[in-house]
Amino acid sequence: MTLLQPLGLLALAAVPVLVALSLWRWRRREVIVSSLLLWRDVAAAWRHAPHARRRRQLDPLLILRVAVALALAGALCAPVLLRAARATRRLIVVLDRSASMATRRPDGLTRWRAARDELLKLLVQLDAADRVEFATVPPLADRAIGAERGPRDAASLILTLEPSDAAAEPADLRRAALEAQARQPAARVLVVTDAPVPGLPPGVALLATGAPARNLGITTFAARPYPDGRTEVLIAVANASPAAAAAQVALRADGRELGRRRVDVAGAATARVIFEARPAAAAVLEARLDGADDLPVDDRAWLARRSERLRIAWVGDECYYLRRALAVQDGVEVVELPAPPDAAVPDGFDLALYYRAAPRRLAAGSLVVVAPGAPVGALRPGPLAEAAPASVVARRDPLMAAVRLEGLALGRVPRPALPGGFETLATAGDVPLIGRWRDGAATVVYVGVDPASSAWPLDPSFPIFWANVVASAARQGQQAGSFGCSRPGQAVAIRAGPEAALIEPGGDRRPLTADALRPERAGLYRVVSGAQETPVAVSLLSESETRAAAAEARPPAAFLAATGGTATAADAVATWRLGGWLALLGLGLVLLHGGLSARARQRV
Amino acid sequence: MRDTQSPRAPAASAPPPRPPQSPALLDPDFLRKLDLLEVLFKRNVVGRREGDRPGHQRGGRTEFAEHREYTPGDDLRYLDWNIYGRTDRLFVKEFTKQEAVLACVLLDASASMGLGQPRKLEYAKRLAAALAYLAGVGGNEALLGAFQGPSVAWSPRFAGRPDLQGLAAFLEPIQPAGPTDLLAALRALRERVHERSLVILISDLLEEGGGRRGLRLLGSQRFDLSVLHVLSPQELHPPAIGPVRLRDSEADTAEDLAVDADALRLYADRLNAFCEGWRAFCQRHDIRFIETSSAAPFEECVLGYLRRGGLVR
Repeated sequence: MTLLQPLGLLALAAVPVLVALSLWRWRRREVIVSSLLLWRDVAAAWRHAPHARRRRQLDPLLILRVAVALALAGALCAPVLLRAARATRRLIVVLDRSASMATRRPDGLTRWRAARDELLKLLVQLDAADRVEFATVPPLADRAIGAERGPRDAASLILTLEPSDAAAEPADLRRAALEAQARQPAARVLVVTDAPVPGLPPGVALLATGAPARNLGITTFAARPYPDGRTEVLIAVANASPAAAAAQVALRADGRELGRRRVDVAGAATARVIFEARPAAAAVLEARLDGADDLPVDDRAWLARRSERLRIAWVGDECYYLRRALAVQDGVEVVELPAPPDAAVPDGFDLALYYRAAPRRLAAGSLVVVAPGAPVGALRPGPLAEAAPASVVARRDPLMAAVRLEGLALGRVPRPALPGGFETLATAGDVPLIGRWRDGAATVVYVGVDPASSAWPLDPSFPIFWANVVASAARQGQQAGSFGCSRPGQAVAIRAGPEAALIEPGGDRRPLTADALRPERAGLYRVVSGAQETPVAVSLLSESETRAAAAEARPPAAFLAATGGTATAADAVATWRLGGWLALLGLGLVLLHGGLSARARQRV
Repeated sequence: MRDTQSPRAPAASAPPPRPPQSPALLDPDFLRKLDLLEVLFKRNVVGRREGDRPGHQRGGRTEFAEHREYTPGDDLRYLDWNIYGRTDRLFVKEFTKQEAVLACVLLDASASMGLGQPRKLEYAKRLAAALAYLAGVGGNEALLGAFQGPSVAWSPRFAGRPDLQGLAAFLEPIQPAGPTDLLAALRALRERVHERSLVILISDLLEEGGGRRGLRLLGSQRFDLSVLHVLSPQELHPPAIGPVRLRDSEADTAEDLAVDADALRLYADRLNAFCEGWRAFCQRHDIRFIETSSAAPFEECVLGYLRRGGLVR
């Protein structure tokens, strides 16, 4: 408790004055009675009474007067009760909204529902003054929820959230947790997910709600047309369960089934199925796994035929392996430029590829720099050194989907000085091999490995990586090539007229107000512009989501106990101002005193 | 003993001190109710003047008593000629003499009567006025006396329907003062009143003198006696006021004590014994004893207590 007006304590000087006055009055207090005739015996009895009875007794009115003085002195001091012992607790919840959170657990609940219930239990234990902040991975596309709120609002918010169909890497969750911790060092960070998140720093707790799942999912769906009209379709089916499983895989073209195969998948393994079909002019291919399992979203995948070719500007030296890797991509047109262009990505091109070269300046567009040898924006290539064994860091990133670098000898690679916001996708020891960053409106993919001086082109991961690069460029730019798809949560550029409308997988139709679409749900979308209808395929195709394993859960109550109070100066807020209450109490005591004294006077 | 017309009467030069706010002595509505009552006199009360009350003495001409055989010397005007005509015997008619008896109201105006809430004296004044009015309404006489210590102030005798202004002129200026001396007051009454009359003493009886002796004296002389005992609620149920010095209102004496629960229990015992003593005394000497509190509603006192006490009907 703090006194805002300590000088009010001077009013306590009235207390001894009151006591003295009361004693003085008591000494001289005299009451006139009609006659002492009846009181004489009473007085005699009192005189002969034991000493204890004859002691001076406290006058109730004096007690009331002293209480009034104390109350008024207290009111003058303006005391306030500060919430010092119990400070506001700040909690930041990093919420995994990835597709795997929709996996059903053996107890019948989805991992999301279990996480939500655990969070609600946690929020119930918080005080109204505690603050909760949310960060979701992947982020919500339609609104921001980053503001601090009380436990009640936080509970209301959680009830409105649903998991998306997008993929999320443990690294994304770790990054979000680190950012939250850096933003509010006094806050406790809780990562709510279904899978282990390695490398969480101290102070960041993990609430994992995963459980062993029985799930088969399509993790790869690719179609490669041949000039003779045949199309080779690759479907990979991953098994999340340690037990072997079997399912029927069906391939459809524009809703018509082209083929059906049985696929047997060993425990925790992946099986591939290749169809050779003649989809003719089909616009959409769909792969479907029959049979129910714990995660439905990865049981279907779609590919849409690209309507235009992807144009890639080649700048720099010739590289046979790289040129071959691009040449096998359907719908890709590579144009070699004789001299570096003024713009990093020249007009008319969807992607610029710099091999052993660097753009003069970075501008809007997507470009890939391979073994640049010169600064690219803020990136400075360092001296070459023998590469350590390589590994993929961001397996869920679309660029690194199905790419395996482990065990490859990659020769000598530079150790670059990295620009801010550089996102490492693959490393050789502690040297970044592949990464990505944004510089203004430019998106730059850096590849430190020189294909001409390494064994990487001999590995299947090489064409896969470049196929990913082309697919990514196609998603970010225009639909190009034969068949392709986007991932949930990623932006899809759409070329459509002003009156265009979007038909969602469920059949809902809404006007298309932007040139980009960031769908959260997997499925087949259709963009209708006049008489033209363009399919947009959005498929999960994420092995990590299909296989999302269970992590050991940590009870929220234990986390809350560990959280404790994190008091800051700003938290020491006055909660109760007692001055008014004391004044009111004093007034009440004055009235009581008046009533009692009047009654006493009347009786005497 | 000193007779004064008005105790502590205001000086002619100074304006009379206003008594504490009190209701009018008798309001018109209450007077109408009083008209239905009358004071009960015992048979031994004898009046000196002719009045409306049938007396013991023969005489008068209006109230027939009985026939008596004629004896020489009787007034021939009272011979009953009708009987003589029927029986040839002479009888004379005898009449009872009608008399007006006296009701003396002796009002204690000592200092102790000035205490209490409401004040006992104001209550007693209204009782005295009501009783004097009732006596007058019954065709009798009323005499008011207010005593303070040994001195008694007497009103003129009120005969017949009393003059309310006269009553008020006597009662209202009376202010409480002095000690209580019942014996002296009763002796003064005996000296002033020579016929056997109704004596009503209105007092708190809080004195150690010879009040009982005075009453025995009047009783032995066949006065019709009544005692109205008036106490205040503060005397009946005093509050626990803690340590205090109690000072006697009539004597310069004081007692220090703590008025607590134990003291109040003892006080209640003493008060009960005091009242019971007076009750027993009055019963023994054929004296009406009526107790009331100054907080009791006045009408209820007159129409209830006094009727139940046999003083009025």
